[in-house]
Amino acid sequence: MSGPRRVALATCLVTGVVLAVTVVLAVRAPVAGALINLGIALSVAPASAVLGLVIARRRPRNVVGPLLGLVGLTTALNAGRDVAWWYLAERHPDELPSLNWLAALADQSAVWIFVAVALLLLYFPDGRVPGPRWRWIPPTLIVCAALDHIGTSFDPMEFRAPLQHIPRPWAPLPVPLQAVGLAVFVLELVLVLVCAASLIVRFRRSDEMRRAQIKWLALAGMAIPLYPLACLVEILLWGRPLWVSAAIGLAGLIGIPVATAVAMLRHDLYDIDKALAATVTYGLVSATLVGIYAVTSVIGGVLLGRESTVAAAVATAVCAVALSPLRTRLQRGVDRRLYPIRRAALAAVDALSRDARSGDTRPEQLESTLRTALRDPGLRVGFQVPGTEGYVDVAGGRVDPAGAVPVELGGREIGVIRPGSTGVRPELLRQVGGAAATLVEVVRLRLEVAQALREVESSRARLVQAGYSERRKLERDLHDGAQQRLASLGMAFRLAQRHLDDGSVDVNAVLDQGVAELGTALAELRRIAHGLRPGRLDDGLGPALTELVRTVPIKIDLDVRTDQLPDDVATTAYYVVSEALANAVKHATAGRIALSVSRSDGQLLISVSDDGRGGAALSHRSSIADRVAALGGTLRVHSPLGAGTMVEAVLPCAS
Amino acid sequence: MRVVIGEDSALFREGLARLLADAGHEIVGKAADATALVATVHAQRPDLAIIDIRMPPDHTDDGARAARQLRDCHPDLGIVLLSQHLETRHSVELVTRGHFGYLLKDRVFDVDDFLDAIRRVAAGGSALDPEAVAALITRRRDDPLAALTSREREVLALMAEGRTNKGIARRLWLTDRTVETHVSSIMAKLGLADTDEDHRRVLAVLAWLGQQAPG
Repeated sequence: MSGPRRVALATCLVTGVVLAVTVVLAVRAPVAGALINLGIALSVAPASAVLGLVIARRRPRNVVGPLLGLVGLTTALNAGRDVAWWYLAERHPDELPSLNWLAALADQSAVWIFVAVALLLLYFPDGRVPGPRWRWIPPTLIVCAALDHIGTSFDPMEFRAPLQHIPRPWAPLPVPLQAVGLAVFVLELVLVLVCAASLIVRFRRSDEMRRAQIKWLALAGMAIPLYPLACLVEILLWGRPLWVSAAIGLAGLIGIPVATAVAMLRHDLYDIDKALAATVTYGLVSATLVGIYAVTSVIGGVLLGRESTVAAAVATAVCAVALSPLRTRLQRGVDRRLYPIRRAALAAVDALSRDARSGDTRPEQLESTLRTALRDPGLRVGFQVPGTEGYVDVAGGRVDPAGAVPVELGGREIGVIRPGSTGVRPELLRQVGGAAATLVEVVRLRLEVAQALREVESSRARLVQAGYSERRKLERDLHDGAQQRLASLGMAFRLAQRHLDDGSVDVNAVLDQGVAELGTALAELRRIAHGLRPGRLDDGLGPALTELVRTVPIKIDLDVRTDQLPDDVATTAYYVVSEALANAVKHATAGRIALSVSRSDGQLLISVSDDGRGGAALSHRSSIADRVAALGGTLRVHSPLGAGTMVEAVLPCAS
Repeated sequence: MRVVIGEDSALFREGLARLLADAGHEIVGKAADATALVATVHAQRPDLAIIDIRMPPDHTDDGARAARQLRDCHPDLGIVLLSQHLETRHSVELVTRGHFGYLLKDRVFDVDDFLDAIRRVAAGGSALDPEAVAALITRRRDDPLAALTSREREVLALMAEGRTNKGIARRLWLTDRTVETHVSSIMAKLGLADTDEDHRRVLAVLAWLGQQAPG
């Protein structure tokens, strides 16, 4: 076991014993003074001692752990001393006068708490003094504290409660020695301040990690200058220290061990800048509110008489009204100094990236994250989804890029960030955009995949639907056409048959009519079969298209250069041409159509262009688009108003 | 007898009308859609209506719906539904109420059988297409019909088509008495009350089959 660790363990154990004794004494003499001291001891000492031990276990060579334990032990001893006096005063008051020498010796033992805290600040966080020139400080401080301790034993002032009636055991020191004692005290005070100031020196020289650690301690350490300040204000206003100073003092006492532990062990766990800024903000808000309350109630008291409830109510109301605007103003000011918005935004983006990587959150949260971090609830993040134009949000809604800052990755624009208010500078957005580029890339790719999936799903549903409606139409055609014709033919023959014997039937005519009906039924069946799949496709796409073109009443320049094609490719190509021609005839009022089909590089290129009025839009939902997509091809319609329409399909066809 | 035809295909409608007229029936009305059919029947009060299931306006089961409507107003009207395809959704329920027939259109070619069936329906009996019967009889698993002999099965099918004992005897080249024996055996095996009245018995059988049919 390392030295520091042994010391920390021993400190922790002694602290435990002291606390146990203190509790027993306080329970046996439960007077106010004892209980207050017990409360202070219990709220500070165990945390310091245990956290000191934890730090010593995790950082065995670092003296910060034992020093924190020492803070706990000195606090416990000091509180235990007072509890013991209260106990004696309550239970054995007769013994007190004979113990006045001990009272004098222990009178100023609180000085050791300051020494412990000062050393903690000096050695924090790496367990070494900031430099060789600082080495003389710890021994000097300890000697000064010891001299001060001894010197104050001869102080002629009356003891504090409950020993106020006990006479001092020794005569005051001669004047020269008193002067020396004062000098020692001043030196001691300076050294404590120097130890605190060492943190500033360290902060200047340190890297980001050390700085974060120091900030954690500073967060709790703020209570040290605030506490006397608050006491002073309260004494000035109300004549005695009240709850505000007590709260600050306690927060500091509990905060220092906790902050030390966090800084030593998990300084990267929380955003210290944010915590620091928030603490400062709320500290200032509280202080200002106390000030406002005090001033208002003093003025109210002068106007309305002391102890006026109306004055108190007015003061409270003024505070309540002032709270919200005050908080906003102060927060803005404090944040500007301590937690610049830029750092907040970058930290938020970093945190989001980390959480997204670990799967704790979805990168789609980017917009709301930036809104919070940049304090701009109207901020929008638009993603450029591959294969589409413009920008969309994660729900698929359009994002207008006007006034937005582009997000780029590898020289390509992959998204935009558009501020909702003018308060956010474009330069800041550009930086944030740079940091968030990978997130934007991930989101836009996810959007693309989701969109493609939706497309495929709806296309599949449409293909199935189209299949069903084709079948229904086919059934209707058969039912209304050939089936009825054949059924009536059957009935006609039966009718004739029934009258064969009575000679009233012209057999020749009946048969003629029957054959004619059969011919018609055959023609209908052939037409239906052709609708299922153009029969001429068996001869190849060229002949089938030539025949198709013959049925169109517009001049068509046909240029088909293909050899044998896979059946599905040829059929799809046929229907693309067929629909494009039908649209040109129906809607475009075209005078001439150019149709070309060619094959190159394992692709079949189909192009149908007319000289009509343009402005056509082949819906992506059309069955032709689905057929093309089903083969893995692409379909494009270019149709500017007044300049004709061009339909282009590319079908993959490996030979 | 006086007949109304509801059929949207003119070819089939006219052919059927000629066939029926030739057999001595009077065609008192022809309708090409369900609405006109209902109006014609209300106006003409025929003995029999021959109705195509699929007709305008919806081209789905308009004919069957019209039949249901007519049945509610005219309990004694004979109704024969014709269908291109087999579908038992409407047929079984309507058949069990008597005065009803359900036949595939192809049956028209067996002219004598067809004329016999419509006569039966007009007289208050039933006519169910053999294919519909086959579907009712075969479409089951935990089968009480398994207890029947193959001959009894044949007799049951013909009963379900709506035929009389005499008709069944003629079909199967049996004597009337033998058929009667088979019938009472079937009724006993299916747990149905036997009765001498032909069409009541048919209805009992059909109702039983209809209840047993899944879905």
